[in-house]
Order: sequence, then C-alpha cells, then structure tokens
Amino acid sequence: MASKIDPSARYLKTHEWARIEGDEIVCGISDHAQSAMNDLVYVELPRVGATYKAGEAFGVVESVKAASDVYMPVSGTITAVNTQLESKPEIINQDPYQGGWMIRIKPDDMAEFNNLLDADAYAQLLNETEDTED
Amino acid sequence: MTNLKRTALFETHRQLGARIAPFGGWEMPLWYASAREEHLAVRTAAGLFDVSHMGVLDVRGPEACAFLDHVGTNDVSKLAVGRSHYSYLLDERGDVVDDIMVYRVEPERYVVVVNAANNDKDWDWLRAQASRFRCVLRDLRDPASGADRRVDLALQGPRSLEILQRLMRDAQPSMLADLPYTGVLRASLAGHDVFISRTGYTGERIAYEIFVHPDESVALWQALLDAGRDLGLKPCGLAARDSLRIEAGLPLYGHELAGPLNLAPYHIGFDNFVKVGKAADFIGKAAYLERAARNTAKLIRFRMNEKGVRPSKLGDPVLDKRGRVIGTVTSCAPDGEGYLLGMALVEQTAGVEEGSAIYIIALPERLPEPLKPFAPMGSRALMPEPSTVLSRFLSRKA
Repeated sequence: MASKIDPSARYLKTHEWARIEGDEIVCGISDHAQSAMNDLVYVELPRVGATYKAGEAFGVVESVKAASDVYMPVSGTITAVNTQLESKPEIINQDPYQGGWMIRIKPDDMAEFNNLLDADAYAQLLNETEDTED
Repeated sequence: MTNLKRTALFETHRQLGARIAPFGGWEMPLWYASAREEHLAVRTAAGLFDVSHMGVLDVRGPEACAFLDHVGTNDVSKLAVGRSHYSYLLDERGDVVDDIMVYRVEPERYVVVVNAANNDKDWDWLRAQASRFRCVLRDLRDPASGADRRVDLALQGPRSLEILQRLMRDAQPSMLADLPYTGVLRASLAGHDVFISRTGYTGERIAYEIFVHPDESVALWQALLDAGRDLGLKPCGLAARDSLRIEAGLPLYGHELAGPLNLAPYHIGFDNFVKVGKAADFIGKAAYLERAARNTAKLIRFRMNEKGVRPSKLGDPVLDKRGRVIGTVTSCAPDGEGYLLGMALVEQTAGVEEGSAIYIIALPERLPEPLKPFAPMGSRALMPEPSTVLSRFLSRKA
C-alpha cells in the first residue's frame, strides 16, 4: 500500500519527517514508518532543553512487534515534546504528520535542514524499499 | 532467511495489503490494516485467519487410536467420532515435543493438527513411533495425498456461525448450529468439500476451523470474506492471532510450552489434557509425573495498569512490591482495550493470586546506566510497571 507523504516536509532515510515552523523545526515519524510498525504502544520522548546532534537518537517508538529509535533531523535543542503521545501513542498511527508530531527543535544551524530529503526524493526512496519489502 | 514457504493464499494477502513477515518457516501476514481492529473484530463480529501453514496429518487404520494414545497425552479411546480434543506429544524425558489437536473424523480415521514450526520434527517423531502400529500416517498438505489434501482456515468470533450458514444448504445450517464445542462435521461449504470443527485459538466459543483442499483455499477464503463483509468480518493476521490467544490465556509453543523455560502442561494449568489415569501408557508419562510432582511454579495472566508503557516480552522479570524477582514474562500483547496483557511464570510461594499487584520491567534493547546519587536530569532508569494479576483464563459468555 502506498504511504502518504507530506509534500511540505523533508525526510530522513530512517523515516523521520521535519518541517520548518517559524525559527524552529518540528519532527515526527512518517506515515510509512508508523504503518510498518503498526499499532504503537509506547513512545519515549526526550527532555525539553536536551541537545542532540543530527542523526543522534532522541527517542524510541515501540509496537508489540518492533522497537525503533527515532533520529534527529538536525543538530539542536529540544524546545517542546508532545507529551500527549506518552498516554496515546496511537495518535502517531492516526495522524503522523500533524497530531503525531514528537518534538520541536531550536536548530543550531537552520541550513542543515537543506541536507534532508525532499518529498520527491523520499517518495523515490519509498518506491525502492516498498518494492523490496512487499 | 532460507527457503521461506508460502501458503496458497500468499498473493491474496498481498492484494489485501498485508504486512508479511517470516513465521515458523513461512511468510505469513502479520496484519492487514490494524492488528488492534482485527483483534476487536474477532471479539465483536468475526475474523478470518489463514492458518494453512499449520501441519495437517491424517492417521487411519485399526490401530490409529492405539497409536495416538501411545504418542499423545489425552485419552483418544474416549474420543467420540465427530469430536476433537487438545493433546500433547511428549518425549521420554517428559519434555513437550508439541501441542496438537486431534479430530476423530471417521471411526478409524483421525486428523491431527500440529504447529507449523514443529511440523517436520513432529512428522519424523510420529513416523518413527507409527511403525509399531497397524495404521497409516499421511501428511495432508503433501500433494501425494491427492483429493484428501487439507489445509486449515480459522473463522472465529460471534458472527462466524451465521457466516458459515450463509454458504451452506439444506439441513447443514441447522446441523452446524447444533455442533457442540470441539465437534467436527463434514460439509459442503460454498461448494467445497470441507471438515468444519468448532475449535480455535482465540478464546471465542463461537469459533470454527475449516479444513479445505489447498487448491480450493483461495476461492473459499474469498467466499467467506464476501459472505461476512456486512457482518463485520475482517481478515486477521498473526499479530491479532497472538494478542487474542494471550488475552484468552492460551499457550504458544516456544513461550508457554517448551521454550527457554522448558514449560510443561502442569506449569500452565493444562494438566487436565494429560490423562495419567488412561488405560494406555504414553511416551514420557513416568518422567512427566515425576517432574510435575516437583513443580514449584505456575502460569498467571496479568495486565499492566496503565496504557502507553513499554511492551514486555518473553524473558522480562516479574517483581513483587519489594523488588524481588518472582517470575518471568512468557508473552505480552495489547488486549481489546489497548492495555498490555500478558502471561508470566511465577513461583507458587510468591502467593500471587487474581487481583495481586505485581511489577514488570520491560527490558529495553539497550539497558540504561544504573542510577547514581545526583543523577543528572534527563537520565533514565528502568521503571517497574505496576500490573495486576487476572483470572487464569478470559471468561467468555457461551
């Protein structure tokens, strides 16, 4: 089944999405990622104020059949986390690009955002992986 | 992944959008859209499972009963024609080789269903024992079995009777309605020659397994889905099969039977399927009795008190309120309400009963550093999750 892609977001090869909102970056996991995990039952979020490098794991999502680290799209400081997900991880399954956001980041260097895959490149990546997976 | 097998329904699952994964040597659907919705469909309407990866054997002949009584723990001599029972194969040490279903379909003919992952091991084991008895053992999934070939589909849940009746004619719908739990009958279902048994692995009382020729399994699967669509029937994958059997308190080979804890029926409250008083001696009986007498552990069902906590799995420790390890988790999955529900082996001396508070540490893949005084904010510790012991089995209205 084809996964939904938010055209306004950019992506990591590890299936996180990131969007610029003001001078911050919002991040979550893609529709493909939530669908591959299926019903999520556990989300581990970072502490507000924590700093991470791009590509570093900031959190964990778990379904019964799988656990996966979630990686930082850019280097920066966590300014907000979606604590609603801790009691309702299924929001990520239902609405991965809006209600299922995981963290807001104050980036060290906004230019790092341009290193991420754009929607077309991510769609291409999914085509390749979904062909081999299914 | 070496030579994964596929059931005849593999392409059908793909077309339905299933997530496919290896299981017991087979590529099987894990779920179609949502494992949780599939779980709920079985509890409230009906679910259709491809279990044609399960081994289906056939034993016939004048000593078929004596043979099965020799290798199996349940009393086959008491099994009436048109009924089935659950049983175990034990080895001489009393270890569980497999848990099986035995269906007496004719006076001198039995169908035996075994776990997919154990099929080859069971076949070799049974064949070695069968040579001493006047009976013929056949693999009903082998093309050599011709028109007798059969694979298993499971239709489970409160609307499953009505769905089957829609595909039956003449007196058969009322015969099916009268079929008692564990009963088995031969019928024509949507024109296919099948055995239908009122059995299953979900804890549902209105629940059936259908044994159909593999070449007809795709057509029958489609006919069942079409017949049940307006009643809420959903195709269900292995994830829902697992969460349903865990919620029901039923064992899975490798978790609650055999496996790393080497569990036996006496651990899990299933010793009533081991008929130590039956007329026939069976393999492993003496060792089984000796080990059962020394047993100090029992299986419990538990539920985690809060949602959104880390899922537990086989091997996780169970603690009492003082932090002492009193047991080990064997299985865990979300129940119909989204709480994590599981089973665990606990010491009998821990005094754990229905309603007891226990604590489970779901060990992550990477263990955090142990906490030290003045631990920095944001560091993490392992959190024992408060959980409550449930009744041993899910109580279902008949």
